[in-house]
Amino acid sequence: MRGFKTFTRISKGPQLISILTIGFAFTIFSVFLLGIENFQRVISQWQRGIEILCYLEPNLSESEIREILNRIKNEPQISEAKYSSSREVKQEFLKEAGNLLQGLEDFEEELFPNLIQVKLKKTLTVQELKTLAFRLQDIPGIKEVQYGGKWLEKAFESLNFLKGLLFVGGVLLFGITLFICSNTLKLVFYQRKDEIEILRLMGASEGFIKTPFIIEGTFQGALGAMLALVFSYLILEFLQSKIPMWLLPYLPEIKFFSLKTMLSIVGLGLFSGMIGGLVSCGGSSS
Amino acid sequence: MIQVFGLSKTYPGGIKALEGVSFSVNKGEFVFVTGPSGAGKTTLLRLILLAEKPDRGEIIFEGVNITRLSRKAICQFRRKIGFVFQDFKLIPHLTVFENVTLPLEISGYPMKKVKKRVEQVLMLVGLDNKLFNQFPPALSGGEQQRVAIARAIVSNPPLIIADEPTGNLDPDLTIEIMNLFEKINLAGTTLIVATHDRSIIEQYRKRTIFLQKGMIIRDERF
Repeated sequence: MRGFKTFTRISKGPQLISILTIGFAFTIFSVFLLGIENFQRVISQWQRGIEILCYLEPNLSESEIREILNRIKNEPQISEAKYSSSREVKQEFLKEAGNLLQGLEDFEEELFPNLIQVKLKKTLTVQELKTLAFRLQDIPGIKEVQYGGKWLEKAFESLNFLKGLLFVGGVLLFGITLFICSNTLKLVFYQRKDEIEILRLMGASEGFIKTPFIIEGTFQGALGAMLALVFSYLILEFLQSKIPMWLLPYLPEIKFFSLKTMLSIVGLGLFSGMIGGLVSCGGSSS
Repeated sequence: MIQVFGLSKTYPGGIKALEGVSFSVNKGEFVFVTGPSGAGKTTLLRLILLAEKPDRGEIIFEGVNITRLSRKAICQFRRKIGFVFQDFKLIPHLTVFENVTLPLEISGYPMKKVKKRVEQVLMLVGLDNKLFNQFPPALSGGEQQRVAIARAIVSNPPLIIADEPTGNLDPDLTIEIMNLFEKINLAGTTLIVATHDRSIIEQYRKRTIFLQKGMIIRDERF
């Protein structure tokens, strides 16, 4: 209670500066995390909707195609396998291309290979996908297997790199927050050395003296993190408002943090503030 | 209650604040410590409060050598002493009520009884209850010193130490505050008051220890 009273009644200047600085540090972290979260979501969506395309050798008989289909369907990870003839593939291609390929209806059907579209039962890892593709490739009559593996691999590599960067950045920001909190509170500790002396003369324990500083640090950290969430939201809104309308349908939906992530960020702020508070009065117990 | 033996204190730069000071104070006694500026009055009180460590000598309080206490035991010991200073030493961002509550909070006084006890003590020192929720800077010097006295006596300590408690007050207020101390002393609390104000010593005629250059030059009992 005393800690809360102290927080609300005194040293507004250093407190405000500290909260703003923590807020700024956490904004950088949050915006970065926001980017990674959205990137990861896009990859996951992509991964979920992934389809394997098995291009067949030309001139296969119906029984050979049925045999290939049966062997594909026997794979435990596969939920559906659909055969499309070169004519159907051509029609589908022209339908999807719309007006862009006007005048190309006369393309020979032979240019479009027969294919089998394979859907998966569950989301597979890149490695699982790769192994499955190799197995399918070994089925006689299948000429080529495509599953966007290289893209997915590259996307995961980038994601892992960004996650590593986020981890390093996170540790760095945690350190910065501790430094800011503890220094601000050291300043407050120094400003209030008379008060601390009075409390000591009254026989106050170290815990009684330090608790308000720890509470103050905790408040600062939590408020700084909340401020960062507000800033991050505003930045996201600003960036979204700058995207041209025509580009929107082609971009994945960008989402703000989930409640769980927001609470985690505030929790991290709270924790760093508390540690900062502890560090600030750690060496001041004489 | 207190026995002081051969207490010495030298500050950095070789400034001798106290040199072989010995005396004892009985329970319920009212003692003035006087002397010119730099005589060692404040140092003596700070040593008794364990705000500083003596270079030599010992202080026995209620049979315990307090110069060799652990940190935890120092906290326990200080809870038995009330203090009043010339500059009041009130915490400016806490209200009058909260300032007086502090010693009770520190000593773990039952929270249910705190409000009643604090109000009782504030009334005892003559503070209007309209001032209870005021912050110290809004009060006059006399009012602030009353709050400091209320804080010193709220936990009913056996000993009160006051360092120039009337130094910032006008003569009328000085008399009011000294009368308050006398009242507290009559209730059985031991008081050690440092002052350089000869008129107070002459008016109240209590035992007076005279210090000069860190040494006791006279110990007068009336």
